[in-house]
Amino acid sequence: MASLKDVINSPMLWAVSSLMVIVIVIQAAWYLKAALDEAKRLEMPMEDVKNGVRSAMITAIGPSLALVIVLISLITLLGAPTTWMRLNDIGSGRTEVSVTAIAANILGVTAGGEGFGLKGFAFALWAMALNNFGWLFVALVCTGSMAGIVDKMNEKYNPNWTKLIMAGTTFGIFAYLWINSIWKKVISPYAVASAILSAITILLIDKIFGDNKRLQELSIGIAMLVGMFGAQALKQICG
Amino acid sequence: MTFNQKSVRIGIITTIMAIIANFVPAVYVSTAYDVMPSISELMTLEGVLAATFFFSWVVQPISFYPALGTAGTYMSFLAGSIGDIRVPAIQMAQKASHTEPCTPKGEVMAVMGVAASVVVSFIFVTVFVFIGQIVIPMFPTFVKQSFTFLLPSLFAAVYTNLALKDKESAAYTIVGGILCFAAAKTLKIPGGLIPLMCVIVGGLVAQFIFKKRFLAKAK
Repeated sequence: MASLKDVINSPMLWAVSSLMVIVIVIQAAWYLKAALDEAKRLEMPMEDVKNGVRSAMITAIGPSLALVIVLISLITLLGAPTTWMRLNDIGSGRTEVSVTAIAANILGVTAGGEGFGLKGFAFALWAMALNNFGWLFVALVCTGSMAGIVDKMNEKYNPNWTKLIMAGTTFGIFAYLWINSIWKKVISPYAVASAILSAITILLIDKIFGDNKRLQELSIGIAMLVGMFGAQALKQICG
Repeated sequence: MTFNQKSVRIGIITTIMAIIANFVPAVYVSTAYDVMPSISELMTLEGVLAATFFFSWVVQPISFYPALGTAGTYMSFLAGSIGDIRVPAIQMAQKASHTEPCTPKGEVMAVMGVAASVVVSFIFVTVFVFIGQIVIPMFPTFVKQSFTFLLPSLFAAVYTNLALKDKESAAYTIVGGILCFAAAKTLKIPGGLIPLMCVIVGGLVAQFIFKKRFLAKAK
C-alpha cells in the first residue's frame, strides 16, 4: 500500500488539486473581462481604471505575503498540492489546520502524528471540502438574492438612504475586522501601538501628500508596514 | 442583461464548478487508496464542523455583501482572505480611480480590484509553494516577527482610510463595535455572530446620521 508521504505529493494529487485553482483563475479572468466591458460602456477613463487595478494589486502584496508565511507548516502537514489548493481558496491556513485537527480528533489520532496515515489524510481532505462547502453554498444561494434586495431597496426607498445604509454596514464590518484583530484574551499593547501608528500614517499621508496620486495609491501598504515594523521595533526596545 | 445580472450568472456558474472541484481531491484519495470514510464518520465530521463554523458560513457572506458587492462576494467566498486582501483591494481600487462605493462605476472598480487581488494572491501562493521552503527561512527574524502585527496595522489603515470620508459615522461605529465585542463577551454570545452585530450597529448609525443630515435639511 502507498505511504502517506508518497500520496500527499503525488502527481495525481497535483492534478486533482489544480481543478479548484483553475476555477478560481477562470472566475477572476471572467469577471475582469466583464468589468472591463462595463467600464467601456460607462465610458470610464482607462487611465483611472489602470490606476485602480494597479493600486489594488500593490495593496494585495503585503497580505498575500502573510498568507504564505504559514505555508511551510501546512506543506509538512498536508503536502504541497493540498496546501497550494487550500491557500488559494476560501479558508485561511489557520482554518485548514484547525479543520485537519478536528478530523484527526474524530478518528482518535493526532494530525501529522503517527496514526494519522492515509485514512487520516483522506478524512482531513473531506473535512476541508465540507467546511469550504459551507461558505460556497451560502454564497451560491444568498448572493443573487442580496443583489435583488439592494435593487429593490433602491427602487423603493430614497437612494441616499440606501447608499448611506450600505456605507454604514461597510463601516460595521470594517470595525469588526479591526477590533477583532486586537481583541484577544490578552490585548497586546504592541498590537494597539501598531494600529495607532498605521492610522496616524494614513492621516499624515492624506494631510501632507493629499495631491500626490502615486503615494495615495500606496497609502494602505505604507501604513501597514509602518504599523508592523514600528510595533515590532517598540517590542524589541521595550520588551 | 445588466452588469449585476451578468455578475450573478458568472458567479453561479463558477461557484457550482468550484463546489464540484472542492470535493474532487477527497473523492480521489478515498477511492484510489480505498480509505473512504463511512457515512457515519462523515456525518459526525459535518456535525462538528457545523457546530464550529455554522455562524461563519451564514453570517459572513451576508455581512460582507455591502462591502464586496455581487461579483466581489462570489469571488471572495471562493478565493478567501476576504477581510485582509479583498476588501482593502476594493478600497484602493476605488480610491485610485476616484470612484465611489455603491455607484455603477464604483462597483466596476470593486470587481476589478478583487479580480486583480485574486491574481496577486494566486501568483504569491503558487510561487511560494515551490520556492517557499527555501526562501521563507531566509526572511530576517525582525520581518517574520512583525507579521504578528499585520492584521491590526492593515485594518487600522483600512478603517482610517474609510473614516476620511465620514468621520462622524466612523467614530460612532467603532464605539458601537467595541460595545458589541464587550456585550458578546459578557453575555457569552457565539463569536461567529459578532460580525453581524457590528454590521447592524453600522446600519443603525447610518440611519441615525441619515435622519440628522437629510431629514433635518428637508425640514
